[in-house]
Amino acid sequence: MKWWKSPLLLGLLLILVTNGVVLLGVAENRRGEPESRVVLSQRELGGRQSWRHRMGNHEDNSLSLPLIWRVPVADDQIDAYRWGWTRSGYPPAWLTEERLAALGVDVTALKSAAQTGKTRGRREAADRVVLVVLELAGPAWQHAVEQVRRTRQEASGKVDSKEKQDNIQNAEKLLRKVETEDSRLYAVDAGLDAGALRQRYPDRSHYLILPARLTMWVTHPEGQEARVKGHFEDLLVPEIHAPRAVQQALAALPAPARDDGDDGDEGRGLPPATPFHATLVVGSRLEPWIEGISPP
Amino acid sequence: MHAVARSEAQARADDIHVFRRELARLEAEGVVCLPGELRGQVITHQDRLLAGFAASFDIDRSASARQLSLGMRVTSFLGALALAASVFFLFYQFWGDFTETAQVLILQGASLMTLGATLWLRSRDTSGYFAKLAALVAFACFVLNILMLGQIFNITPSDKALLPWAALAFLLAYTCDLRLLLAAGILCVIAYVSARVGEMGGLYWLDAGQRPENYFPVGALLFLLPGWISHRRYPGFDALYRVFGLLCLFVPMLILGHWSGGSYLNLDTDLIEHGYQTAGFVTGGLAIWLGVRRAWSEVVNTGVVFFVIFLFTKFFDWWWESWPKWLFFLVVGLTALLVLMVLKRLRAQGGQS
Repeated sequence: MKWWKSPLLLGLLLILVTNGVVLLGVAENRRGEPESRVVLSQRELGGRQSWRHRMGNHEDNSLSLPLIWRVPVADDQIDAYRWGWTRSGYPPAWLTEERLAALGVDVTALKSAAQTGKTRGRREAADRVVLVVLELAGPAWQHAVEQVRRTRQEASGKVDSKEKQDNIQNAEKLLRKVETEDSRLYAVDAGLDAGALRQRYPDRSHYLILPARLTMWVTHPEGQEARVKGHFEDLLVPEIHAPRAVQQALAALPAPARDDGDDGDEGRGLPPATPFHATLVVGSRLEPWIEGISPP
Repeated sequence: MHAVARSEAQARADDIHVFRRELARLEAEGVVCLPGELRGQVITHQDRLLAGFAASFDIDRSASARQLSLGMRVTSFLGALALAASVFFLFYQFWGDFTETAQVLILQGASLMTLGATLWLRSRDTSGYFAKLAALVAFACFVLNILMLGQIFNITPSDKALLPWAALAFLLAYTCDLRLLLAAGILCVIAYVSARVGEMGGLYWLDAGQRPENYFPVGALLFLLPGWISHRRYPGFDALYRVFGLLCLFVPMLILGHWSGGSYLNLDTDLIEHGYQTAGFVTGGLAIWLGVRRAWSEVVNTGVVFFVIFLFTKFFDWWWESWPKWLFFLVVGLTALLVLMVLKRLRAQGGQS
């Protein structure tokens, strides 16, 4: 039998070449100067879905930390913070029809499809991959804190019943949550060209550029003009694998004391997250990894 | 064990048994009577062949052996599933205890060792069941290998992973005469080609299913493939390609016949749905005609099944709301009788030709 007809050799070649190609891609991603390097905390990596809780799974002792990020909302949608809706999956205030058009969405065709009832343009409503810019503890987060603080102030100005008192308490709790617990990573922009986005956001220690899925839909209320909206479904790599060294560093951190943990829909019933700092690096292929863990 | 030779030996052994049964019947009916010497030569030759096949290929020598073989096939399949699941959970159970380097080596080692074990078993296992079981585990290990590399290094998911999976599935399927892995390989090809076609239409590769028309090119390709590549030595492989090809044509037509929103076509909603319903009937009819003409039973059966599904869904659309239920089911039953009569006629024509 000729060597190229040997199933053993063909199989070995296939397995080795495939693994080689994958590992070369990893090496290329991690070679040279990283695309970005940011120091995140437990607020952005894992959040209330504490890694200690995740490590309690006896069937799976590997660990991946979800990258938690939020979207800025308009002032009249402030309740979205209370219910935890500002995570990915909620339409960002800045993602207007103009911005969608800049991302390659045929807004006119989508509207036309909704108005005529034809299928024309519906393929434009399919998910597409775009690059999203995530800002760490920057103006977007500060703006969110300001929005919630304003709500707290408005509530405190008119205390005249038990219900109002409850509103103040809820607003204070929400403010504490946004200020000290929730992720400070906010999606502030999106584009199709990583280079152009990096020129616009040159600070590599505060702005991450990662691929995400953009979903669009059309709202067409009776008697009104159709409007196209969009949100980011999730990052293409939504969880970051924690290598053994990172897991060991996390395990060495002191566990926090339990609290009542009443934080809306998110993380209900879970222990509070252990504070830590994690260096997240994004390589040339926009694939992230955790470089190290340290106490805060 | 040479898988293809085994299937050929089994087919020859089956033919010998059929020949002997029919000869006994003909002799009992007085139609023919072989002279003793000739009969002895034939029986001796056949016995020698059967003994040789049994020694070399562990074939089924009787009906009861055949039934036991079926049981062994089912057991082998279930065992392979269980072993693959065991490998999967074993990896996850201890995964966090290893460094990245160790993880990579374990993943590659598992793929290479199970492949080696499969081919080693193939050369020693005359029955083929153990080699087939090992082949399924080897495929599961390779799929896990690539999936977990992606997880360890946070690699962006890509449809390109489907290509090496398909390649290994085909390699093992053709080497071990394993139709289950052939189906796995075909499914990988379907997913890859439809993802590529979807990307051309602006879809994210994981959303290829949102536009059922993405499956038409791969459906046509799979249906035509056995015509270009001979599978004479691989019984059942041709049929599998054709059935998957037809499924990639019929299922999207069925979906688009009731959900025009999934279509690329820039036409009126009703026009698209009616068009695909008609296409379903026409393709079903063509499949039945071609299947009868070429003696492809799997094509006839798939064509009939989908023709009937298209017909009944159409009946449902037209009459379910407006007719009394007894009348609706009566018409459905009568239509089934009509289809049976047409098929009977086709079968008779096929028998004459």
